[in-house]
Amino acid sequence: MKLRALLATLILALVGGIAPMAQAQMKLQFYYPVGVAGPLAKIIDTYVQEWNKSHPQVQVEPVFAGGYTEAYAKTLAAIQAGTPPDVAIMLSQNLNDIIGQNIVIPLDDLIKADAAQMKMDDFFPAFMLNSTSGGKVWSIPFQRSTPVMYYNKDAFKEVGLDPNKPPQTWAEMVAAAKKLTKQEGGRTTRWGLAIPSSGGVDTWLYEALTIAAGGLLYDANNSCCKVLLASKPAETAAQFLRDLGEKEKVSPPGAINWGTTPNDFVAGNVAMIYYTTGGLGFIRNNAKFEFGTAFLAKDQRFGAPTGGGNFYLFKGTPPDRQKAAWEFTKWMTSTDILARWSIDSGYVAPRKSSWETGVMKEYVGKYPQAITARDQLQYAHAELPVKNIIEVKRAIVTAIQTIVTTTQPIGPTLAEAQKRVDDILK
Amino acid sequence: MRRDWPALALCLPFLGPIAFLFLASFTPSREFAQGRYWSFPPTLENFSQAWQSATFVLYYRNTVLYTVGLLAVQLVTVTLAGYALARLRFPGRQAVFYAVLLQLFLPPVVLILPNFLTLRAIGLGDTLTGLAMPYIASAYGIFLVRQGFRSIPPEYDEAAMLDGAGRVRVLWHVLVPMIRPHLAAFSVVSLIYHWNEFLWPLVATSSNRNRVLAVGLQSFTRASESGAEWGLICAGTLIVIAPLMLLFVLFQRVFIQSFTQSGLKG
Repeated sequence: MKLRALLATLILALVGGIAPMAQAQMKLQFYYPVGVAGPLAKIIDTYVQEWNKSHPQVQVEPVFAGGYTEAYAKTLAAIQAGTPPDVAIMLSQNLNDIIGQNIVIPLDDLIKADAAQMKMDDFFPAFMLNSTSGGKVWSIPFQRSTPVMYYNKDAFKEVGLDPNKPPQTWAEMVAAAKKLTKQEGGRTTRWGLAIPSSGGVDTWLYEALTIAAGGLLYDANNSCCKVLLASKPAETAAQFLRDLGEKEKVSPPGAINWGTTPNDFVAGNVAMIYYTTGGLGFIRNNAKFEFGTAFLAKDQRFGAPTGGGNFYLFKGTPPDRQKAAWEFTKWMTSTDILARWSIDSGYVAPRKSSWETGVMKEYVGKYPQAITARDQLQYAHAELPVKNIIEVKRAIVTAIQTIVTTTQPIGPTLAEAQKRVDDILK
Repeated sequence: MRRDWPALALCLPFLGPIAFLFLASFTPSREFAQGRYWSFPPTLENFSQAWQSATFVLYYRNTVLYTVGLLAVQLVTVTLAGYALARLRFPGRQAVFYAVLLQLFLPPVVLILPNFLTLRAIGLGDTLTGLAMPYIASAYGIFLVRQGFRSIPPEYDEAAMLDGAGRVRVLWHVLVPMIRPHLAAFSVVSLIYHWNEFLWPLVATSSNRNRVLAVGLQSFTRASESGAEWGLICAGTLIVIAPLMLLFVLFQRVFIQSFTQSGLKG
C-alpha cells in the first residue's frame, strides 16, 4: 500500500510539474538601436519589463545592438547564423536595402487580421512613406524624428524682430539672420543661422533644403533606384547652403558640424538652427533663454524629410512566434506607449491618437515647442529611400562638403556626384 | 627635470582630450554648453546620470571576468606555444610559425562573422567564454614570447638539463622568469585591447547579463539623432576607463620597464 501511495504522489508530482510546461513560455529576441544620448536603453527595458509582466507566456528579451549601422550589421549576422531576432527596430530609411536582403515580411495580412485594433490611418501618412514599398507595409513607425527650426527668442527681441513671428521664407530667414549676426571688433560673436552639413545624419538637412526648393533628392516614380542630384532644386539648395556662409555671411564659413550645433545654440553662439526634434530635450534643459520652434523656412514650399527607426518582423520565424512578435510590436506601437516614448525620448509620436492622451496633452501644455514637428508633418516627405543607402549618402556628403568648403562651381560638382551615385545604383 | 621637457611637449597633444574629458565630466552640462568649461565646486551630476543609464556593476564584473580570465588562459597558451616555436625542433615548425604570423596580418574585423558562426555552431553564442574564445591563441603574444625565448642563450637550458631538470621544469624555473618583461608587456596590451573592445562583444553577446563595459557605454552615448551631451558622454567614459587608469598609475614603473626591456614600442 505504501508503495502505491508513493507512486501516486510521484505521478501527481510529475503531472503537476509537466502541466505548466505544456503551455511553455515563449522567448522572443528583440534587437534595438539607440540614436539619442541619454538612458534610452533603460527606458526601452522598462517598457519590455512591463510587457513581460503582463504577458507571462511571451517573454521578450531586449537586446541593445549599438547605433543604427551596428544594429543592422548585428541583425544580418544573426540571420546568417540561422538565429534571426524575432523583431527588431531598424532605420526606416533602410527599407529598400532590407527588402533587397530578403529578410523581413510584409505586414499587410497581420494588419488586416487586426483591422479593429491596428488602424494604420492613425499613423501620420508622412511616417508611413518610408514604411511602405511596392504598395505593401513593411514596418511600423516607432522612434521617428523630423528637423525643425529652433530660434532664440531673446536674440530676436534684442535686434527688434518679433519673437512670435519666426521667418517663413528663405528670404525672410536670411534677412533675420543678417540682423541677428553680431560682430565685435571684427570677430563674429553670434551667427544668425546654422544648418549643419557634416557629421551625424549629414544628407538630411540638405535634403530638407531641396524639398523646400520644390524638389526631392530621389525620383518618386523610381524611389528605390534613382537619385536626383543634377536637378534644379538640388542645385538651388546647394547654392543656398553655400551662400549662407560665403555671400550672406550669416553662417559660420565651411562645413558646420551636426553634433555640436545644439551646444552652439544654447551657448548663444548662433540664433537660429535647423535641427532634429530629437534635440529638443537637450536644448530645453540647457538653454538659459526663451526659445521657439518653427517650420523649416520655404523657398517654393514648406517641407522636411522624416527620419528614425521602425519595427520590422523577420522571415523564417515559425508562425506562432511571428504572431507573438506581432502582438509585441502592436503593444510597443500602441497609442499609450508611443505617447510615453515621445515624452521620454524626444521623438515625434507617430500616432495621431497619442497626441490626444492625457500625458501628452500635459506635456505639450508645458512645452508647446513639441507641436511644431507634428504640424509640419503635413508637408513632410520620405527620407531618401534608395538602396545601397550608405554608399549613396557618402557620395552626396562628399559633394556637399565640396560645395560648402570650396568655391568650385556647383553644377559640375553635383553632376559628378550624380554620376557616382548612378554607378552605385546600377 | 629639464630633460623631461621634450617628453612633456610630446605628451601635450594627448593631454588635450584627457583634460577635456575631466573638465566636461565634472562641469554641469548646462554650464558646459554655455561655453564655461570649468565650475567650482565640481559636480557629480553627470556621473550619477551616467551611472543610472546602464547596469555598470554587472558590466564591471563581466569585463573583469572576460579580460582577466582571458589573460590567464592566454599566458599559458602563449608561453607554451612560444616555447615550442623557439626551442623544439619538429617537422613543420616553420610552417606553423608562418601561420601564426599570417594571423597577425589579418584585421580582427574580417573574422567577426566566421567566428560568430562558429560560436553559434558549438553552442557558445552569447556567453563570456565564447567571447574570449577567438583570442585564446593570441598570435601577437606567441610571436612576442617566442622572440623573448630566442633571446635567451640555449646554454641556460642545457645547464639546467645537465642538472637533471626536465623540459617543464626548465621552462618554469629558468626561462619564464627571464621573459617576465615580455609577458608583462603582453598582459598590458591584452588587457587594454579587450577592455576597450566594442564591435566583437556587441556581435558575440546579446543578453544584458553578458554585456561588457564598452557596449554598456555605447548604450547611452549614441547621439546621431540628438546632440552630443558631452558631460554625460565624458562621465560615462571616465567610469569605464577609471580602473585602467588607476592600474596604470599604480604600476607605472612596471609597465614602462616591461616595455623598454621587451623592446616593444607601444
